[in-house]
Amino acid sequence: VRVLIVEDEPLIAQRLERFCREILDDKLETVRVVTAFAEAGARLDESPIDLLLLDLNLHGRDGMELLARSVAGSFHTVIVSASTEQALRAFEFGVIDFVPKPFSKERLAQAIARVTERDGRAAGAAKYLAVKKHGRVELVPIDRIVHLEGAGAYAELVLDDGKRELHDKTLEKLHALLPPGFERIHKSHVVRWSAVKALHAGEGSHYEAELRNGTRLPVGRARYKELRAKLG
Amino acid sequence: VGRRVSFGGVNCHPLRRTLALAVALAALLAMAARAGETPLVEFRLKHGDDPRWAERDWDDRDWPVVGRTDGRAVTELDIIPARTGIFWLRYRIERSARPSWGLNVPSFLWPADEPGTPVNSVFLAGTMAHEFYWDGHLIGRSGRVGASRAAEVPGRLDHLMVIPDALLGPGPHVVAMRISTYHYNFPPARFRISPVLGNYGARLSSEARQPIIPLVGAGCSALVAVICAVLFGFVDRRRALVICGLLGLATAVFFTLIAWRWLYPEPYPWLHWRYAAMLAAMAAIGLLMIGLLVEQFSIPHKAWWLLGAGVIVAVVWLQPPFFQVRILWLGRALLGYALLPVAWALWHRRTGAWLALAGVLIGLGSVQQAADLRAVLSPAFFLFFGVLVILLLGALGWQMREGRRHAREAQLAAARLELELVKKNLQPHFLLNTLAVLTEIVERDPRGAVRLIDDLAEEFRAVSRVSAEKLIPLAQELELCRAHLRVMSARTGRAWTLETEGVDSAAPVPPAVFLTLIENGFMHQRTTAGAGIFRLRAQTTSAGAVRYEFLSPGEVQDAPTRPAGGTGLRYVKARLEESFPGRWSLTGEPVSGGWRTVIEIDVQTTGGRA
Repeated sequence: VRVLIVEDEPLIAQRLERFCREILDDKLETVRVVTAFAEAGARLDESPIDLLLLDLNLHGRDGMELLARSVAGSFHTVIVSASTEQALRAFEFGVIDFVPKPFSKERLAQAIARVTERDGRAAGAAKYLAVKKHGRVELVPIDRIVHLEGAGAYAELVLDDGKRELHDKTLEKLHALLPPGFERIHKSHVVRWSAVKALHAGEGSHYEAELRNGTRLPVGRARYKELRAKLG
Repeated sequence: VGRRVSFGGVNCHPLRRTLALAVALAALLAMAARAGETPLVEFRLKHGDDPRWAERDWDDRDWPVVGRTDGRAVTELDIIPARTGIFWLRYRIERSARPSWGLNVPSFLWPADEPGTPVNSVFLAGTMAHEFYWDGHLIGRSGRVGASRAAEVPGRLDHLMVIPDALLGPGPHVVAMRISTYHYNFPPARFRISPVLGNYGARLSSEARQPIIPLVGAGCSALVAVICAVLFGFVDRRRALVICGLLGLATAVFFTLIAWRWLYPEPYPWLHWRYAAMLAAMAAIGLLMIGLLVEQFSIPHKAWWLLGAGVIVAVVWLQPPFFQVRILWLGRALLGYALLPVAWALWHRRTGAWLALAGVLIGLGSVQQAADLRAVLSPAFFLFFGVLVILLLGALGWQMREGRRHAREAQLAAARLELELVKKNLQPHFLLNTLAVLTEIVERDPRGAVRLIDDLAEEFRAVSRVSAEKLIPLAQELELCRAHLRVMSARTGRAWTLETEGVDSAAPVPPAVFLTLIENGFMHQRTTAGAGIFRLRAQTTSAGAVRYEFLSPGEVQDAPTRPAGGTGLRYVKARLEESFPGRWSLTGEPVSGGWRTVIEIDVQTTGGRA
């Protein structure tokens, strides 16, 4: 796991770094500390990361813009902040966790687990997914997403009007942020369960989900039975 | 025409001479037109004393004629010599072909007399001691006629004498008056009398009605004075209320002096002093009114305004002693003058200025209307003048309401600012960040943790010391800043200090102003290498203001958003406005090495503006 810490108070930064080393132990690949998000931006291009521990003053437009830029990245974002009143808003934007200051090692470990464990889910519900588009960050309401398609290191969001948006996160990471109601039906597909009309079993173990808008998506063999049962 | 004839004074006021000339001309024309229709009444006067001169048939043809009337106007006005021993006055009157008879000068006619009511009384207001003979019969007397000042007993001013039925008839009737005027105390040597014939009952009832309106005016004015006193005592201690109360009082005195004639049968020498008192009351009213306008509208150069009013009073006071006219002109001049401060107040959009304008205009309108000379001013005057006083009070009340609203808002703002100050240091963000640092230090350096806790406690104590104050000595503010910097030093792991230059540690500043600038520095500037030194430099400008230059170090991160001012700067501005309304300025700019904030406070004139 590659971690980047954005924290302007050196003692807290040191504390975060120390905890990361202790929690992740040999799983930790790198951990770096910068004092401002602006500094981090440059480094992200050089060396990608998996987890960003971000101390961000979310008050005002600037804070929100920074947050949106952060969550649009390929990595997961954990906010470590004293502004707990902003936690809900941060979750809506799609952070995987919000660790209030002052924090203990256990609490930080919990947040890191959401990122590192296989079925880790966000601690709160996202309402938007931030996507980078023409150098800007746009917020896509999750309500409008019908299904998501993995494409290597990226994922494509398919919206209710048929439009597609490319996201820097992997399908797995996005699924971790999405609220309940999205189902992983295939290695490369996550679908809003309420959009599924029927499941079809074709020849040669070829399974498909038929969506209400007519789209057909492949269903993994391992998932079919479970999904069949769920559809009733 | 009738106004030309007076009971009290004699000489025509210069201001009225032109008018008098015109009236005389009109009278001559009228005489020419009516020649032969009405017999000429001639007043004949003889010095000396002989009881036989009272007789109806005494031959007075050799007596000098001192006045004439054609039944419409007395054309030779100076009749009664003042302070010259006993003398007699004789004249004849008879019923004319016209509805009224006798001295048929319009103002002599009692308007309340209905046609056909018998003429059975003579009303005479005279500043003299006299005996009044009608066809040789004594029908009235005033005091005791005397050959010297000591011998004369001054009688009452107003007399309503009944003419016995037996003596009524078409006439001609002979009036003889035995007179002495030793106590006549107006300066002129001659004066006039105006006997009025009329119905006794009608005259009585009319006389009884005379004081009503002045008394109503006096009551209203006194009420205004009481209201002002109550407001001053219990509601708002503003000087304008005292002036308004005195104005009400002066007006009440003025009205009472007018009503006095009908309330108490005064000896004739009192008339002069009553008129003098009325002139003084009018002068007081005028001065108080100007004073009230200048005070209530906060007009600058108060003394000059009052001096102007004083000049007007002095000029009018020095005019010839025709009191009614002096009072009238004083009222006109001062009300006209009052238009100037009212215009100033309107121009500067002062609260209630329109009400004051309405009041002064109404007052001006009322003093153009002077009619009845015994009442000095017309009934309209009393009503309108009361309205003026009430409108001025209304304007004052309006201002008080505004003032109280402002006071309430200021109070709320002060409370809000105090809360903001406390919140500043108890705000979760600051506390939680500090605690987060503390958790780390506790584990690594327990002694350092104790120091941080001490520093934090010291900052809280400093805040609680100043939180309820509007202004604190600069030394206390600096202490607060340094306590905060110690906490920040512990938090950031590097030394932060505040250096000052030329500061007066006793200079008053609103609490947490510089503390806020420090917090802003931490929030908006990035720490750079080098010493973490905040600098405060104070100097006195040539204009006498104190100029504080505050430099917070670090690289300016978000300069474009700075001028708009965040919550911190809003707090600083609100505090400055609260303590130095309109006398401060705040500017900020990026400079090499940090951000410079310049605050200028004009401390000198503290409390100079109401």
